[in-house]
Parts: sequence; structure tokens; C-alpha cells
Amino acid sequence: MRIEVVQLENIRSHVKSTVPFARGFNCLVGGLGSGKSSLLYAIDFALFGDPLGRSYDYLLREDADGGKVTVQFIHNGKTYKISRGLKKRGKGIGQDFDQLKLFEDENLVASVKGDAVAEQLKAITGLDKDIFREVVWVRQERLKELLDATPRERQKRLDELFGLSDYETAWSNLAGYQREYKGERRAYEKDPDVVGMEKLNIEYDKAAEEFSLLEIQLQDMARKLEEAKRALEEAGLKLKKLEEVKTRTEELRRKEAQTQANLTNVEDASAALAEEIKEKKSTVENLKQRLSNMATQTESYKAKLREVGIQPEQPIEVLRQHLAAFDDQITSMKGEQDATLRNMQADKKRFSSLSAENRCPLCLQPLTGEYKNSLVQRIQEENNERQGAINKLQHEIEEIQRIRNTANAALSNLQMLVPRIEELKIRINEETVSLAEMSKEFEEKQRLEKDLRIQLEAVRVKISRFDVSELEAARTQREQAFRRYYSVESDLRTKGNRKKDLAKRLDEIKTRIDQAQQKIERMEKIVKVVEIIDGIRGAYRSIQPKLRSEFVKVLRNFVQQVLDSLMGGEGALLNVKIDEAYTPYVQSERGVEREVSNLSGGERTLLAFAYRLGLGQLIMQSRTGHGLHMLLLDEPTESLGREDGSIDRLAEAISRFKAIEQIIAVTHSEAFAEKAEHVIWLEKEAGVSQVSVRNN
Amino acid sequence: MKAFSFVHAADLHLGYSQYGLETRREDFNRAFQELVDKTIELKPDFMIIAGDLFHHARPSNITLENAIKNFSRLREAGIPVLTVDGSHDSAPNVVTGTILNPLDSAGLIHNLPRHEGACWRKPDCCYVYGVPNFRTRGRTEELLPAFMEKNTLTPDTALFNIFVFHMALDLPSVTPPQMEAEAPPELIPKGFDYYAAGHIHVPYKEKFKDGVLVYSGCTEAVNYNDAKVEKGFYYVEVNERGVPSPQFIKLESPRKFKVLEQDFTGVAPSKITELAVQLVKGADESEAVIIPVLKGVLPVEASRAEVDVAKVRGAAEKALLVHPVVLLRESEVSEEIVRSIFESEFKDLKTKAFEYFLQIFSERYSRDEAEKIARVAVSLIEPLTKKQEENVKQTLEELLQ
Repeated sequence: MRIEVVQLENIRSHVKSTVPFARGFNCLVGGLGSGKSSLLYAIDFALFGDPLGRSYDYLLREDADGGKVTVQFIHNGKTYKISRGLKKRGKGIGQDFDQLKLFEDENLVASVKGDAVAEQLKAITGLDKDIFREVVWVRQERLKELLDATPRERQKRLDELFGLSDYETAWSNLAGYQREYKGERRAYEKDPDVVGMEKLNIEYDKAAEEFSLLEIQLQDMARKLEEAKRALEEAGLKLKKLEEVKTRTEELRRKEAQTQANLTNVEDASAALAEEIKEKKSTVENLKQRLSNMATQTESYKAKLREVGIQPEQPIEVLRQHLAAFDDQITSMKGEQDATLRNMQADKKRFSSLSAENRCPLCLQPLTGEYKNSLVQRIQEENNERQGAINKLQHEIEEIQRIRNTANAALSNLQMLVPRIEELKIRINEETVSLAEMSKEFEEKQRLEKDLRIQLEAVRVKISRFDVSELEAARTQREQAFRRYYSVESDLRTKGNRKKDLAKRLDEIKTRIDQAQQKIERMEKIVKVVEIIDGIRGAYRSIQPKLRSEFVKVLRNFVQQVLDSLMGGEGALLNVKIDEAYTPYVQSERGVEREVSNLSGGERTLLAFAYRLGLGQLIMQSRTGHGLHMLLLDEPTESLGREDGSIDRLAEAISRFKAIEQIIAVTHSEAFAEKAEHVIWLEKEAGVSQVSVRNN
Repeated sequence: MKAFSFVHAADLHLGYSQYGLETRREDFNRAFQELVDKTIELKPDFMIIAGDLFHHARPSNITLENAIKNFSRLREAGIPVLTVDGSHDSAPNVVTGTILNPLDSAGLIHNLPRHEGACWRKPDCCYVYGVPNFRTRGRTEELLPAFMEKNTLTPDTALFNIFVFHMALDLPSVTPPQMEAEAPPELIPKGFDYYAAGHIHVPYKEKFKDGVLVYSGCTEAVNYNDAKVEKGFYYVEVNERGVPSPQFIKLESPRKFKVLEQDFTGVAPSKITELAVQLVKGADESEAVIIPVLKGVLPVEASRAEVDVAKVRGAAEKALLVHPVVLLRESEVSEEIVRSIFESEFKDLKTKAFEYFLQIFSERYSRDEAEKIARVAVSLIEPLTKKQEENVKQTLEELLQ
């Protein structure tokens, strides 16, 4: 970092000043109150804003309401410009944040907010207020301050500046966290989960083992259940078949009974039929006897007919004609008889009349008694003859009538017999047919009977084949299979439930183990972290002396270099030594160590300057990683005398000191300023600082 | 000796719900199922699982149940299962155990390190010795020799000797550079014919000591680097003369992964989003897991957060999942600045303190840890001195992670 220009408005004695700076050794020279120190205050204000004391009274021009400082600087090839304003507020003075601006190559990078600007500035330059005020800006009264301090104080302040005291603070503050973790660890050590972890783990192993065994059993049982189910089905099937057989057997029994009944019926019917046939046969025999009798009768009638001269082998009508012929003969004979009788009667009458009448009735001639007697005799004789004829006829009629009657009786009998014979024949025929039918029926019945007997036998054989004990066995078997199935099933269910329980338990144990595990892990980590914290604390502790001794070593080199360069090889050779309390000693060529207080005023100033520069360089380096770019020195020539040339030597040394890019020194000593490359004169005219520049 | 055969598998990671997906957990289980199916088909004399059977030391009930089912199948088939614990299913600390122990007690597996002598023998055939996993190299170097001292190795030259372990061996051909090898090869004893190893997910088979070193690889993709690797196991037939012929058997069931690596150096984040979406769309495939890996260095002042990962995630329609991996780096701090900080002759206090702390902590901790602690020690100074308690607490808690 190198300051190019500082512009001031209403800062102390400056109303409006523009102060240019160059690379290298710049010197601000002026008399008392010329406003040269104000310039350094203004730079400090512009960069960091905070007042040095409690107020900004030391900055603002007395009669002004507001003031402003702008610092333009170059860093890493870029140009930066920072402006800050001051404003009167009532009795006090405050910063005018509206004027706060930070530009990078004319781009506004931060404004208004003090923190943001400070952060940006630190990011850009590595500088913060503390480093600037302690290291970069060496104020008038502070140059020898450190040297004059007690070693203890010095060490403390420098440790702070180097950042070493941070380790001490960190060491002490870290203890609290360590305690906290130890407490947590102790709590875990007593935690029931953690304490019971081993037990829990055994429990888990047991549960997992049981789970495994159970799972194996379950699989086995599932198989057994399958088998039991199959056995049950088979037994059921067998039982069903046997029950069907039983039903069929019962049907057979019914059939047997029915067949038996049928058989009995058929037997009875057969017997009845046999009886009937027997009767029928005798009937037929009787009928045949009767027919035979009738035939005999017929023959006798026929014989009678033949006897009377009638050929019986003629149709009945013809035979009837024969009878009629008899009747006709009788009639005619009866007529003859009648005629004879009438003649006789007529003769009788004539006779009577002849007796009474003596005339012939016929010829009416009277009738002699003798003639009359001869006539009555002849009439008597004739009537006697006629009587014989009538008697003979009567006899004949009677004979014929007897024959006719005989024939008629025979014929009538014949006539009566013929239909009866016919009827009998029909009946015999019918009876014979019936008998034949009956015989056939009987035969059928016999056959049926035989069939039934065979059937019955077959049914009985079938029935005999059915074994009740087999059915009973099947029932028992099925019952057993059923019981086995349900026992396996219930066992399976029980085990299944147990498995569910176990699974739940496993989950529970797992959760608990996981919790305990987490706690143990946390505990183990805590143990480790406590150990690490211990290590870190140890490291914090041990790094201080180590870094300090390194710093001291480097510091000594720096101081020696600066001092050598300040001494310019002309004065007495001063060998610097610095102890752990950063206390510098000077060792003479002869090896005599001298404390700083024993040095001459000039030597002390030079040493103080070298010491300060060395410290600055080192602190910057340790804090920011790079060395000091810029140094602001306020009245470095104090207690240096012109006479011994120490002012010149210091000035010369500074001008030769190229390690720092820019040194701005404020001095009232013109002699000192003579050595500067760039001199800025400040004079106060009518209460206002005037600036003029001169390059040597 | 008699001829025999065995199956060697490892890194099954059962119970790993990768990407928080239940489907992925099922995937891992399905791969195991297939392994068991194939093993039962092959009828080996026994099976070796060289670690990481489970993804967690205490798996969920469903994972446990599935495992038990498959182990019972193996048991019924008369195939003993020999295991060692891996980096995932080993006990997280001395107090807690591993799930392998109860499974061993239940008779489903034989967890070699748990048994006296850490071994199992098949008369006239082989001697199998198994060691546990010790997680870190430091612990392995300390505890493995102690384990082997306690459980004396008794390989028998008349038999076929198998050494089972779950560790990445420090051999360039075995352990990729980004992976920490837990064991130097010298730590593994000689005198064995077959070194059945797990942990490396890529199948490997090379001569080692007097025998052969075989990593069976994983059975499912545990991370996207495993995607291109063939998943499976080794079926090893050993003849009467004790000569093994390991044969790699591929598994069919592992899920398809599509890893789409692309370098997007210099591409603007919005364009990267667009290109990645196209990339995913072009690779969309039913039920696959698509992993777009976005690599490269972003243009100056572009931020990783500007890549719309959600959009890339939603680009596929058919895939099971799109899981973008963003490895994009933001533009680096210029070297010049770095140099100016570290190379100046006189270092700033922080750097100096860091160096000092590092020196102190290096005496007690590993290089990485010492560096970490030294950094913490430096970063704690400011909050501690300024009493920023939250900040201190947070930094210390980070140490606990």
C-alpha cells in the first residue's frame, strides 16, 4: 500500500489542502501547529473512521460544521480512494456516513456502512485499525513506549500484537468445552442403554437365533400342514367312497327284501296256478266224460231214429220233415179213419132210418122186411168190416204215433244234445286253451322264480362283500387326519404369532441397540474429541513459547538489520539480543551486555526505531502474510541531537531503507527532512495550513 | 485326497435399499435367491460367503427372513455355508455383535471366525480358515496377526487349504487407487491353495503366494461403479490332486444399470442440464437405473447449484430411477494466489501455527487425521477468542462426525 494523495477539508488548521505523496521516504516538515501531525490523524480517520479518543474534537476545524478527508492509495496495482466526512451534531461531532465511500479504480465497492468498508479495506490491504495504529503508525509518544515498559507488560502487549495471546485465550476458553464434553461422556457412561449394551446385544442374538429357528420350524410345519391336508383329503375321499358303498349296500338290502318278497309272491302264485291247473284238468276230464256220454246218447237216439227208419246223419230239418211225414201219415190215416167212421155212422143212420122207414132212402121204393133185413144185415156186416178197418187204422195210427213219438223224442233229444255237445266242445276247447295258458304262465313263473333266486343270490353276495369295519376304520382314520391337520395348523398359527412377536421384539431391540450404538459412538467420539481437545489445548499452550522464540529470532534479525543500517557502519557496532520477553539487549564487541536503559539517548532512539520497525515488519508478516508496505512516523527524531549526527544518521538510514515501499515521517527537524526524497512543507498562515512540496 | 467342489460368493449386501428404494432391496434379495438356486443346482460340497452378506450388521426382519429361507434351502440340500464378516455386516464395535452369530447359533451358517480355530474341515478334502474384517488398515495390521495367533492356522498339505477373508489387499491389480486397502499382502499367511476373498466388487483371479487369489465380485451393483462389472460367483471344482478349476458363474437377475459419463468442461450449467436430459432420454430403458455422471470444470463463476438436477432426474419415463451424480468442479482459485500464500519466506501466523500443529498431531495421529485436527485447531482460534460459542461448538461437533 502506498498513499498517493490526501485531501483535507476543514481538518484542524487545514481548510482545504491537497497533499501528494511519493514512493519512498516522504517527510512532512513544519513548525509547531502547522498541521503536519493532523495529516497523519486525518489518514487514520479516513482509513478507519474511529476517533483516537472519545470524540472527533481533535480533527474538525474549530469553526466548521463539517469536514472531509479523502485518501487515495495504490495497492497491488489498483488505485483506491476512500473518503470520510465529519459533521457537527449539536454539541458533539459525528461521522457523516453519507460521505463514506470506497472506490476501486473508480468503481464504488463499499459505502455508507462502516463495517462493510472496514471489511473491504482489510480484504484489500490486510490492515485493520489495530495493526495500523500499533504497527504502521508510530506515534510520537509511542516509539520508546515498548522499550520502557516492564518485560512482563512488554511480553503481554507483544503477545497480543503477534496474536500469541489468542492462543492463551483459546487454550483457556477451550477448557470449558472440554469440561462440557467430559460431562456428556460421564453422562453416557452411566446411561442405562450404554451400560446395558452388552446385555442388549446378547438379547438381540438370542432373539435373532430364536427367530431363525422359528422360521426354520415354520417352514417345516408349513410342509407338514401340507401333508396333513393331503392326508385329510385322502381320508375324506376314502370315507366318502365307503359311505357311498354303504348307501349302495343299503339299497341292495332293500332290493334283497323286495326280491325276496317278489319271489315269495311268485312262489305263491305258482302254487295257486298249479292248483288251478289241476282243477282245470279235472274239469276238462269231466267235460270230456260228459261229451262222451252225450255222444253215446246221440248214438242211441240216432239208433232209435235208424230203427224208425230215419237216417240220423241228416240235417235236423230233414229229420224234422220225417217227423212231419209221420204227422202227415197219421193225419191221413186219421182222415181215413174219420171217413170210415163217418161211413159207418152214415150206415148206422141209414140202418136206423131203414129200420124206421121202409122205403129205400135212395130209390124211395118200399123196402121189404127181408130185404130190409138183408140190407140191414149187409149194412151190419159192412159196418163190422168198417169197424175192423177203423180199429186197424187206429192201431196203425197208434203205431205210427208211437214211432213218431219215439222219433220225435229221439229227435228232440238229439236236437237238445247237439248244441250241448257243441257247447261242451267249446268249453272243453276253452278250458284246454286256458289250461295251456295257465301252464305257460306257470312255466314263466317258474322261470321268474329261478331268475329271482339268482338275483337274490347275487345281491346277497354283493351285500356280503361290504365290510362295516372298513368304514369304521376309515372314519377313525379321517378323524385322526382331521385332528392332526388342526393340531398342526394351530401349532403353525401359534408359532406364526410367536414369530410376529419376535419380529416386533427384534425391531425393538434393534431400535434400542441403534440408540445405544449412537450413544456409544457419540461417547467414543467424545472420548476421541476430548483427547483431541486436550491435544489442541496442549498445542495452544506449547505453540506460544515456540512461536515467541521464533518471533524473537526473526525479530532480532530484523532489528539487527535495521540497526545496522541505521548505524551505517560508522558508529559503534551494536549487537542486539532479544530475550523471550522481547526485551532487547545490546552486546558490545567485547561481549558486554547492556540493557537499553544503559544506552545513550541517541542509541536508544535508533534502537527503538529499529525495534519498532522490526516488530512492525514481523507483526504485519505474522498477521497478514506480507511485510510492512508503509510506515508513518511521528517525530522520530525526538531525543536525537544534531550534534552527534544521530538525526542525520536516522534520516539517512530511513532513506536507505528500501524494504518499505513508503515511509511518511512528520518532523520539525529540517535536518531530518533533508534526507527525505519527498518533502512536504507545511506552514500556517492566518490560522490556515498551507502545503508546498519539494523533491530532494 | 478326494475330489470335491465348492461355491465362493461375496458382497451380497442383503437389505441394501439403494437410493432409498424398496425395489432395490428386493433386487439384492433376488440376486441371492438366484445364487442359492444355482448353488443347489450345482450341488457343491459347501459354500463360502466371503463377507458383506448383509449390508447392515442388524438387518431388517424381512431381510433376515428371506436370508433364513434361503439358508434353510441350502441346509436341506445338504450344503453347509461358511462365512466371515465383512465391512458392512461386521460388528461396529467390540460391544456389539454381528447378525452372523445368531444365524450361526441357529445352525444356518458356520461363521468361521466365531469358532475355535476359526476353521472348518471336510475330511479328506479341505481345511477352511476364515478371518474377520477389521475395518481399517491400522486396526487390521494390529488385530489380524493377533487373531491368527489366537486361532492357530493349521493348513494340512495333504488337503486343499482355503483362506477366507474380506479385505482389499494392497496390490495394484486388486485395489483401485481411490480405495483404501486394508491389508498389505504380507499380512495374509502363505500355505493356502485358495484365497477366497471379498470386498472388491470386481471378479478377480490371479496367482497369489502358493495358490490362487479369487475375489468373487458382488451379486448386485452396490454403487454405480459396479454397474459395468459382471455379477456372479465362482464355482470351484478341486480334483484328487488338489488342483482347483474356478469357473465364474454369471447371475441373470441383477438389475440393469446405465452409467452415462460425460465431461461438460466449460459448458454453462443450463446447457449441461439440457444435454444431460437428452442423454438420459436417449438411454431411457424400462426398469433400468440410469446414472448420468456429470464431470468437468464449470466456466468461471458458474455454480454447481445452477445445474437443474431435478430436471435430469425426471427426464426418463421408463427407467426405474435416474440418479444423477454431479462431479462438476467449480473454477479453481488461481495458483498464483495459492503460491503467494504458501511460498512467502516468512509465513503468516496461521500457516505457521498450522505447520506446528501438524507436526505435533502427526506424532499421535495419521497424516490425514493430523491435518484435519491441525486445521480445526487453527480455525478454532478466532471463535474461541471472540467467544463465538456456536461456531466453536459446530467445529467441535464436526470433529465428532
